[in-house]
Amino acid sequence: MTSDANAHQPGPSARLTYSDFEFAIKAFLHQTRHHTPWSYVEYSPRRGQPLQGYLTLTKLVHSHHTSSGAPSTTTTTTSTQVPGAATIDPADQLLLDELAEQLDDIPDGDDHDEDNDIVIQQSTNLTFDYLSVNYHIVFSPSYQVPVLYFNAYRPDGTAISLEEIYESLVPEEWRGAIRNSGLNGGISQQDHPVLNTPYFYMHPCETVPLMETILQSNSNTTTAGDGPSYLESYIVTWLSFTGQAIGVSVPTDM
Amino acid sequence: MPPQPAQGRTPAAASSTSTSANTSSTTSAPHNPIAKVIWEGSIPIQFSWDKAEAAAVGSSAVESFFYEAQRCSYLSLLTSHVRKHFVDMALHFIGDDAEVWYDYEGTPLKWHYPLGLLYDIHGLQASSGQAMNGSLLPWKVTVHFQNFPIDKLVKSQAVDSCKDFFMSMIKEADYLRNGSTKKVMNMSKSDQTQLWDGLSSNNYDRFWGMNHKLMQNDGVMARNIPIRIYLPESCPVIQEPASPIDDREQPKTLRQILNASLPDLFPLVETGPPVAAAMIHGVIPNLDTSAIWASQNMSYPDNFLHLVIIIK
Repeated sequence: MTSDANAHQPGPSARLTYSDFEFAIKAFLHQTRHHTPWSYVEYSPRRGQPLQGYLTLTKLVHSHHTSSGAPSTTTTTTSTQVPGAATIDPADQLLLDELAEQLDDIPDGDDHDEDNDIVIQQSTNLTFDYLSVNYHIVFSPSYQVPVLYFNAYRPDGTAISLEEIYESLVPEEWRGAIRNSGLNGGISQQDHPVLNTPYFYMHPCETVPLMETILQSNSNTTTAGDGPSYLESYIVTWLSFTGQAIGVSVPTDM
Repeated sequence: MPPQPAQGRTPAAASSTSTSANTSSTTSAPHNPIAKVIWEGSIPIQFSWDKAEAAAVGSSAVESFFYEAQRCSYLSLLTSHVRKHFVDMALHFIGDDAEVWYDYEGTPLKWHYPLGLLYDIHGLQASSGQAMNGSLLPWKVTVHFQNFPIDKLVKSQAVDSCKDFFMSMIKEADYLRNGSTKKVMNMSKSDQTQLWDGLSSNNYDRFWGMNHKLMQNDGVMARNIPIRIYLPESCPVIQEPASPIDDREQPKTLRQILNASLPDLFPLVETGPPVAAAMIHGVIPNLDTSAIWASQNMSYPDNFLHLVIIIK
């Protein structure tokens, strides 16, 4: 690494070095340990390099997509088993039935009666319409900020499309704004920088200006030495605006 | 004034002052023989229909489609030609171009990587450089019209996705050079269009007429060079901030940039025969080349230096 890449920035900065990022996610992991089961995943970027890490979280989310039945004409006709996605064991179904009662709802502005969310198919199967969503918080060396990557899978393990992402994860009142943001919409797909497989992600180029604004307003209101340091609260702050748009947030008592 | 390459150590320096012929609504491209040669680089590809798919519809022995593809282009931009050939050969396909995908020896090819980079990785790097003698040409690529592997390839909406991804890379390069994407975001719609149109219609003047401005960066030295380094065996792509100047404000060489990320493969002082080489556009540049010069003259159209590491 060039020395300037890792040198700690003087004073708080919206931009992070990798070691700032690692400190920040470990602090976040500690802060959320009783609320949300984030995990720290370590990997070796290449031989001779120290290990690096990122955070992951898997959540079950109600799908507001009404049918998981007939494929549309534009999607692949083959169901591909995605590595890491669970195949539903009958033994696990019991657990899932219990979890279904506690599924997180993404507020969509409607008043959904919980019972109406259970979709009864034309066929004999009673299916809970839910998605398994993986969220990853990974460092971007180009933008020097965290980036939120995510993928969502149906119960049968198939990955969902961008349209379904908007319908199921993005609160209705946000959809227009996110679709129209930036050059290509706020959500795109690209290769996960570590796993090298396709993941959706939130564009990071707005992160720095946003974090700088928050940093400015925080420095006007807090006394030095009070409460958590800037880096310790970085992820909570960042996730509270990035994550809301796609169904992951920080607990309200943080 | 853009930084000058080190004396006597780099290929012919690009002169950036004279202008070439002007097309009516395009900013003219400066005379740049290196950039022109790179732009004109091409690879002959032999596209063959996946045997299993062909057999399933009772077609066997369907002629391959031979195409001389621009290294700087993308698979997505070839799909309409490829598709037409096979449809003319009795393929009955009414789906979207987005469902078409390609593989080389079983490995799905990323449509969002420039063609030249794909060949450098899957052909040249995979053969540890042996295939630089042209032994893998025409490059034998398999085309599929079904079963798009969404777990391995970013799902494409064909040309639109390719354009979006390309512009994302341009934005990222701008961010690396300037610490913000203001320059690109402030480009007029027609200027942005000129970039993509120039690339997709293979019009050097149209593309470089606009790209020149991004590359010269108003004479301001870049904070970081947009560079991505590809190691063999699907290692995570190396994308680390690379300052173009050292602590004494001297322009860094490619060797210094590579040494910062891969000190074992690229020592600053060679004590024996080199164990690795860095390749771009199918050639191995002299490592004493100024990194900022390489960035301005040898980048792909997406403004990145995509360096593929050959382990000897």
